[in-house]
Amino acid sequence: MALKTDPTTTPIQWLDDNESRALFDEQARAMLGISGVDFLSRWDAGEYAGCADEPQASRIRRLAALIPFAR
Amino acid sequence: MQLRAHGARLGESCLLALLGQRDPVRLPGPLKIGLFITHEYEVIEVGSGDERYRVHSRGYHYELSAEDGRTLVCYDWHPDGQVGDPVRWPHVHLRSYTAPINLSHGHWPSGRVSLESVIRVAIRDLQVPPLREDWEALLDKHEQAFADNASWGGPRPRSAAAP
Repeated sequence: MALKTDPTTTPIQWLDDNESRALFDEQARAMLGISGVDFLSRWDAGEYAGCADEPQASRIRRLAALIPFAR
Repeated sequence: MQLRAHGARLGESCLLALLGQRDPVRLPGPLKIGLFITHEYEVIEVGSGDERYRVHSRGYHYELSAEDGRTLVCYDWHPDGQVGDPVRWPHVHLRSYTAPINLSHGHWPSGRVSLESVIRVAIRDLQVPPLREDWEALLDKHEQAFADNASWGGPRPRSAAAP
């Protein structure tokens, strides 16, 4: 599919690498009350593996889905 | 509510996300359904002119949640694996408790799911009011384009579905 974007009809905020990392940090603080770096350390260490189906765990999974913004 | 995405990173993995302030974006309607979307993609150069670039999907996380933020259902595809969830094929998580057997920890194979189909189920089955009268035709049109261009496992176009 050809890449065609129209800034007048596509309400997307485009981010550079620094902005995407800042957004990840902002989301980590809002969702879990920790920094983005802290979340990544805990995630990589497996601290969230097997987390239960609680609202807090939903936020962990959402933040995990945002990890590409941080790396 | 805002869509955020990596800017031009030709040949690199990019992410698009629909984000609320803290919890998923709240959709209108009596059930106060939440919607959280991430979609990984890659833009590659394939030629010149109007067809110079192609966009390839590299993963997705389409989630519908309840008013309290708890996940109801989540369509996942992370082909490169994920810490704590090594399943690489497209699957569904049924995060709500399901009786008489708790199915919430399963990875239920789904085939590749389009974002259009998730929006469609929110409108049809979760009482989310559409913003425009031609919503079905619009979703069908874009889903068809997705099916026509998918390099693997695209959804079966609704126009080709059972009569």
